[in-house]
Amino acid sequence: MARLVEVVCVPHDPTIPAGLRAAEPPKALAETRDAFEHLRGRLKEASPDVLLVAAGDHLNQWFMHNMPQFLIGKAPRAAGPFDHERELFGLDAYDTEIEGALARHLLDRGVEKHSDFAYSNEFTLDHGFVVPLSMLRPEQDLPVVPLFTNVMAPPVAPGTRFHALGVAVRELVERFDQDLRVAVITSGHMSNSIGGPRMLDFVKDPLSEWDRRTWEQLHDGDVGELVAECTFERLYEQGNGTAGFLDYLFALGLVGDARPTWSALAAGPTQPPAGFLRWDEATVNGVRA
Amino acid sequence: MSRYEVDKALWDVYRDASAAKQYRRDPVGFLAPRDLSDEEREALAARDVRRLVALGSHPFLTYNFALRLAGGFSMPFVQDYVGQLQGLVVGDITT
Repeated sequence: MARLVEVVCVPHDPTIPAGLRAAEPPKALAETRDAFEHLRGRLKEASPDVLLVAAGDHLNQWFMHNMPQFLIGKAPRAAGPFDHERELFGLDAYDTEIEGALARHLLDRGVEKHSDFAYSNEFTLDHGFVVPLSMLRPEQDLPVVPLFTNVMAPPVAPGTRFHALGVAVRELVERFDQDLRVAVITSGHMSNSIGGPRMLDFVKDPLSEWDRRTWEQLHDGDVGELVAECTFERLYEQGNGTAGFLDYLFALGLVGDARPTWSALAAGPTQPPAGFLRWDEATVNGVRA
Repeated sequence: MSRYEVDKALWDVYRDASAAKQYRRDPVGFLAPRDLSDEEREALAARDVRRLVALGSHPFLTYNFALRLAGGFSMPFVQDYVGQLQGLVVGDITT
């Protein structure tokens, strides 16, 4: 049977790759790079057979004319980013296979009980997928299953549903009748106001009060309370893009609310806060090493 | 008010290089077939991101529209964009 061997939450700011080409990146960006490098090494050690990647699409293809809440990509291959993202942010291409049997399993078994996932055979991975994949698996050699989430266009599912989806996807993965080692990359962010009047608040306050409290809840606080508090409306009040944090709640559902094995929070006056969480195989499966 | 149509115009310019070209060349003509209020049409034609956001356009789309027209990401671009929004509070963006 398939088994979860690694779960990580990482940011996907599209300016990260170009920023890292600079000779001396600012301190918070250097910390962001170091965190990605650390996780890249751990992911390699976990030797997964497949990467399940969950992230938002940023209105790049799913738009208000046809908006899925949760969608599984089941084409033969997954590639990205969009031309306009390459042009505007200097992102490089990423192209890999899709683990079609697992994608099909999630759809077929999911609809029976858990979730009516939308699905697509024609899609592009936007920066929400390409940035984490490029940073964590630059070899482009592992098959993926992309899970697109709507975190931008209301109505957006509340945290309780993202969490429940994580619980459900774990159950579905563990019922998959192939001996696969599955690593999960979820990508989102902490407080974030891209496009809004508070977009540069991090210059004065690299971490908002919400960031500090949320980080504390993730490590030592009441996870149930955190999940319940994370509605789109409440997150929107913390910055118009903060609902991207919902994807981290998906990961909490996957790991059974376990405390992270490792974490890092890169913050400074030069970027929105970048939160990294990792659960290793022993923690995910309830065995402390 | 036709928030959806505003968002759609922003989306088209952001994603589609030929739409962006058309908008740059003739914003009024680009907007003509779209079902917009006079205020929305004027704000879109003038690239008035403050008015657009105040009208309830999606901030992320508004930002990407401006980013496309600026030609790429830079901190001076962000500072100028955010400067135009100072004092605003984002409200409902439901379409």
